[in-house]
Amino acid sequence: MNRDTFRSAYDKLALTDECKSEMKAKLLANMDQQRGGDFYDVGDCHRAREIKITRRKRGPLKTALFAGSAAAAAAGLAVGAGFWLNRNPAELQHNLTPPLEARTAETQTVEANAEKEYFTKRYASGTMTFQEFTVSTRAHSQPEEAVPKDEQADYISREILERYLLGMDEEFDKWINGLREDNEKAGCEAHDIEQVIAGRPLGDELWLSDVLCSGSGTAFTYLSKDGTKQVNISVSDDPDEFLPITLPDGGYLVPAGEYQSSFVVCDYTEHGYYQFVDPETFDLAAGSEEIGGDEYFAAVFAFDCADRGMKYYRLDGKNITREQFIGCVGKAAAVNLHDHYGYYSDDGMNKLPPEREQWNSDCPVIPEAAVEETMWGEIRVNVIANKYPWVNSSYHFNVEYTDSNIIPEEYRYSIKDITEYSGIDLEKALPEDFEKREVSYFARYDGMSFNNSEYGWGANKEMLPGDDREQFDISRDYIVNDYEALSGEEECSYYTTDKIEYFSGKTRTGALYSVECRSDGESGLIKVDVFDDWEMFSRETRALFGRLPAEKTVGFAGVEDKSLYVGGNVLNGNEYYIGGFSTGDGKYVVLQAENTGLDGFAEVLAKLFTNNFEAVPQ
Amino acid sequence: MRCCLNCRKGVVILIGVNKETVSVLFDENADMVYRIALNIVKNREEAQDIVMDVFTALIRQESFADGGHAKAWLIRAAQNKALNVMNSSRIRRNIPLDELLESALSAPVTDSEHELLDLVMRLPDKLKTTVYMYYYEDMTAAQIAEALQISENTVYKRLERGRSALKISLEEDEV
Repeated sequence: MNRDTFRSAYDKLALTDECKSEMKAKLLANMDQQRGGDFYDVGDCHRAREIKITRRKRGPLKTALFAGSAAAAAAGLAVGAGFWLNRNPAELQHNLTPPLEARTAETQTVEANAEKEYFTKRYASGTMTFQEFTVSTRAHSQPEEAVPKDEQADYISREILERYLLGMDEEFDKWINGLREDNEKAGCEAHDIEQVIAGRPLGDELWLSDVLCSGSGTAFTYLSKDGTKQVNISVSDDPDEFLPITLPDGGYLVPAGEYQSSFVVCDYTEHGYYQFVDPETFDLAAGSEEIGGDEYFAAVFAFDCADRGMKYYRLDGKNITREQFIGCVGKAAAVNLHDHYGYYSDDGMNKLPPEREQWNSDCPVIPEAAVEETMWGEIRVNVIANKYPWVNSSYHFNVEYTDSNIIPEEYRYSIKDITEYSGIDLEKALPEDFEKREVSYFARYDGMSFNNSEYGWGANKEMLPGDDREQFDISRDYIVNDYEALSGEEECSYYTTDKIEYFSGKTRTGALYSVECRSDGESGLIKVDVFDDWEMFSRETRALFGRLPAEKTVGFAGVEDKSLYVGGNVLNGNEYYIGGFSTGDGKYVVLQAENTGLDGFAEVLAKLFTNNFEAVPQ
Repeated sequence: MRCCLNCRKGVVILIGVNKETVSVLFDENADMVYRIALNIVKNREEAQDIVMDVFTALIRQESFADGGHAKAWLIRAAQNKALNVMNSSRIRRNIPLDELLESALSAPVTDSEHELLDLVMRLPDKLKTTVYMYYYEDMTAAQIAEALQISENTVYKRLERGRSALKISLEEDEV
């Protein structure tokens, strides 16, 4: 059989012409009803316009920005480009809370706060609480080297447009105007444009005015045309370097006490995963004060950007709306403030319209975590708002093994390998009646890459430094090369095993073992993943926790010294649970179960969690 | 600006959803939506209902990044609607494959074609849609990944498993 056979067969699975005509007529009639007739039927609205935003090579300034002077901004504002952030809340608190003398150096009147009601709201990944701010005149440094306008536009639009454009800038404006003109010529409404510019908290009200940089930081200033509205964003390696909005009588706002807002590190759009076991959070202080008839906003927080070190952020706002300011904070912090991946309103209290449903939760609102009683002890079940396949999690491994690989027995992987890796006897933990078992294994190796891409994925085509010719040649036999028939761009290959000699001198930097088992003839499914790299774990499907951070289960199955995190919900009519814990040596175990019932899930979880197969229900 | 997570090429093409585009999209894709739905629900009437559901949802959209994205959206919507139907109480009875194919085919098929359709219909849902999109719709792995919201690796894996299950032997020049 070949593709032609396939095509000829499938061509005959078709709607009849009569059926299609009837459907189309109904559809177009529906369209008239739903959209009020001619509004959308305005000629050439569908005409395509190509918008080219190809990435350019970095100019001298940009090179400088990345190399040093504005490395903080690049690292901080471009977190979405794939940097994983590690937060250390304790350190942040220590470093960022202004010294007492700063807080007492007030030079002007801030409205009496004794009876002030502060704004607080639960967002998708944390809680924003506006707190009391006071005025400080404490000396600080600030970036002072002006970045030329043409470089600004280029930098902003090329590097941070997608995620961090907060308002307008010249290049973006040109782009949007071009689009508007084309739409007008075509006689179309502007709904396409609105979709393009949606999501920028400052919209087209505030424009990028200045970018200043120094050896350690960068500051961006956005201004409204009349100069009454302003936003400053400062990012620096130095906690004392920032560009605040100066108050009428001098000084700037600083938080009056400990930071009261907290968010979980969770960047779905780029990283595509949420480390729900021992999730990292970071603290943030935000607030607003009315001074001299103007509304001033301020927010401070910091990230530990892994190898880029600690980056200190300060945002100032003047006469913008609270939601605009919070939006700016969300963009700068790269946290998912506003919605639950588009399925619920920002506070989780309203499910969005049904056309957005995909693998949807049956919950009209996202409830808080609830304690459920099982035979093995109490479990705190966090609500899973959705479970969905993920797009952007590929390219994280060099070895891909599945049971369908055709390789010698000694190079295959089994539950025994997972047991050896995790120290937990999976054979004993898995229910006996889940007989259909499939093992898969993924690994990532240092320096290995199919095409020398930044992701470091696939099987290297050429010998690596230090490779033995004979071993390298043998290793070619253990590459999945079925895909070489695909077009050049898609060519893709992986090692099917790393149990061959070629890998003996290589350094494995990440591993993921999985076993998926099904109950025979039933809808029950149990999947156990053991891994040391969350990026690799989330390669196919994931659970989206509705309320973040996930709350811990304490004392389950009599274990007091390990953290356990559990989520669950009914999704599209299927009961779904997920539970995860750390084994304490850098590895994580995650159990997923479908249609097993809570007790069925809890029993397997208890065995994995305790590594005790004689354990009895509590 | 990337218009979706899979787009790295820095180009966005926008099209509005109006009667003309819906009409074109329907003409070009109704059979595809039907096949995807039929693959999953294995019920001709349900598959036809899904076609209507999918295009009704389409007209609620404001715009698409381009025609390719519209197709990707239709595929995803068709698969999701079909899976929802399978998970709901709408389908309770299993129709024998022979009976299904007989009712769903618009023209006579040869024995080998029938055998192939039968084999494909028996594939697990995940593999079936991927195989169909690759072999019939001429979609690339990247396009399938975007349409199904899975990684390209997963597409390759499913194709491998699908081919293995179907025992299809493809010569390089046939692909």
